[in-house]
Amino acid sequence: MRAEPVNPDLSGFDYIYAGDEFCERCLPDDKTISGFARRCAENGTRLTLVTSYFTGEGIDRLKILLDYVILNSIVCELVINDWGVFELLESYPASFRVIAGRLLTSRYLSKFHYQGSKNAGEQAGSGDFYYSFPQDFLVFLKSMDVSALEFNNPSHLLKTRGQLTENNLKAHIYFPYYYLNTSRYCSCARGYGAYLHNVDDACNKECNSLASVRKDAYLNTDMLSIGNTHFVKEKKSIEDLGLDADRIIYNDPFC
Amino acid sequence: MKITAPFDTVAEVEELIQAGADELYCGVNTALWREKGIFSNARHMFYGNLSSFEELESALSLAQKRRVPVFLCLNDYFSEGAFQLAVKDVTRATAIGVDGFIIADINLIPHIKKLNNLSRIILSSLTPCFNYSALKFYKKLGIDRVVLSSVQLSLREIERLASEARDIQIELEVFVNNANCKNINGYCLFHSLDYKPFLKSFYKYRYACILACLKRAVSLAPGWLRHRIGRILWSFRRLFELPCRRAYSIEVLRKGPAGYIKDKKIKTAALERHFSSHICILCSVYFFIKYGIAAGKICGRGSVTIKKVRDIRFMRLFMDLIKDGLVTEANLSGYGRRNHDFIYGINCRNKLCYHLSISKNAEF
Repeated sequence: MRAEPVNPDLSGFDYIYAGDEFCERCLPDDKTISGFARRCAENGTRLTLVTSYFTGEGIDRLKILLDYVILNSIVCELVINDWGVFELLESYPASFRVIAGRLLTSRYLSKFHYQGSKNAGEQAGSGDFYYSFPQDFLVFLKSMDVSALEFNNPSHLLKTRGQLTENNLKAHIYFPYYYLNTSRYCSCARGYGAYLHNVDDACNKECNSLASVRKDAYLNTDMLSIGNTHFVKEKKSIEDLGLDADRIIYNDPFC
Repeated sequence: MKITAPFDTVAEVEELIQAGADELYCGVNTALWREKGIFSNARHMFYGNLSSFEELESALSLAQKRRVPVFLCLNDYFSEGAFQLAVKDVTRATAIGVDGFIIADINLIPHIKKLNNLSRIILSSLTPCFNYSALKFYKKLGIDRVVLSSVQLSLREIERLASEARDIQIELEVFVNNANCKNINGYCLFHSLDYKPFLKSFYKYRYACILACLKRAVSLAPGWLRHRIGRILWSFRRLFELPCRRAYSIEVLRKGPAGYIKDKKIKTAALERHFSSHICILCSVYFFIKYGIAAGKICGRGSVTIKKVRDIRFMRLFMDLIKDGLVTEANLSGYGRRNHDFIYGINCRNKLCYHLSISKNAEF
C-alpha cells in the first residue's frame, strides 16, 4: 500500500505492506508509518516496509525513517530493492528481518522462464541449467542476512522452490499482478498525457487516485499502469498455478 | 574524460581507435552459449557480438599495440548453468589478457578477482546505481567503475554522485550516446520471455525487432536512398515498435468512492514513439567533464562501423573544443548543434535534448 487506507478490511491478511518498490516518493513518512503500525496492532497483523530503488535524496529520507522506526520501537520487516540499502543497514545491525525484493531477483531468471510454451530452456531439456538461481547468488544473500526472496512471476517460483528450500530461504510471491518495467519518467503525474522526470516536487502522488489501462493490438491482455510502472495480470488462480509460496502478497489495486 | 566505444568485428577496431576511442568494449558469444540458445551479455543479437575468443584475441592484439584497453561485456543476469559458462568466459578472457570486465551480476566479482586481481571491473547500468550508499556497497565488493544510466538521472543527481564517488575513490562512467529508453534497463522485463505470453505473435514481434535494426541502418544511408527506403519502411511502421515503444491506447481510470471508473481515453502514438527514440545526451558532455566523470560510453554494439566512427568523432571534436576553452555553459548548445551538423551531415533536430529539457526537469 502506498498510503494508509481510510477503512481497510484486513481480515484474512497476516501482513500489511507499506511503501512501494518502484518509487521513492511513496516511501511512508514517520506519521504514515506510525499510522500503519497502529493499524497493524489493532488488527493483529504484522508490518512490512517496502523500499524502492533510491536516489541520494531518497536514501537520505530512508535513513531518517529507519531512525524513527528504531527510536519508536516499531517492529517491521524490510523489503530491499536497492543494494545501497544493504550498505545503509550496516548502521542498524540485526534490527530488521530482511527480504530481497523482486527488483533484485527478477532479472536472474526472467529470460529463461516462460510458462505454457516452448522456450530455449525447455527445448534443450536441461531444466537446472536454465531454471535455477546461481548458487553464488543465494550464498551471497545469506551472507547479507536475507531470509526470503520475493518473486514477480509464478513460473520463477515453481521452478526454483526446491533450490530455495535447500538453502533455507523463504519465497514470497506477488499476485495477481506482476510488473514488466519501471522508469523514472512518470506519466501519471500529468494524467498519462505527458511524461515527467521524477526529480523534483512536481509530483503530488497522483498515483494514489489514478491508474491507466494500456491496450494494444499485439497483446493478448491489457497492461495496467500505476505511476511509473507497467503490470500484467496473471489470469490463472493460485490453485491452478499450484503455487507453493511461504507468503502471497496480494497486490490487486482494484480491490 | 575517456571515450569508451563498442566494437563487434575485428576489422573495425583500428578504425575506431583512429577516430579517437580511448577504450573499447565488446561481447563474445561463443559456440557454448549459442548451443544453449542464450547470450553472454545484454546485447541479444548475433551481429552485436564477436563469435569466438580467437576473434577477441585478434582484436586485443590490435588494441594493445595502440595501448587501448579492451573490456569484455558479461553484463547480464545468469541462471546457475549460464553462470558457470560466464565463469568459464572470465577464465578464458583473463588468460588472453583482457583488461577488464563489464558485469551486471555482482556474484562474478570474486571469480574475476581470484583469476587476476588487477582486472578492472566495471558495473554495467543493468545493475542500477542511483545513490552514494550503493556506490559504497559496490566499492566494497571490488568494483572499479560504475556506469550510470544518465537518461534516468538529472544533471543535479549526477553531480552529487560524482562528488560522492570522488570521496570513496570509485570511477563513474555515463552514457553519452544512443541510450534512449525511458525505462530503467536494470529492472525492465519487457524484452525477456516474461513478456512473451502476452504477445499474440512472438514471431511478428521478432520480425519487428529485425526491422527496427534495419531501419537504424537505413537511417545512415545517403539522403536520397534513405528517403525512398524510409518511406517504404514507414508504411510498415506498426511492425517497427518494440514493446516499450508501442503506441498504446490508454484508458485513464480515476479512483472514486465506488472504486476506479473510466475517466478519459488517450492515444499515445506520437508521445511514446518520439520519447523512445530521440533522447540525445551529447551536449551534456560539457557537464560530465566538469563533474570529473571518468568515461563517456557510446552505446551501439551492432551498429554499422560508420555510425560508431561518427559518434566517436562527435565526442572527440566536442571534447577538444571544451579543452580549448571555446565551449562554455552559455554557448554549448550552439557548439553542440554545429558539431552535429558537421559530423552527421544533418541538422540537430532533437526535441528531446537531455541538456535542454530532461536535465532541467521540463515536462514533455
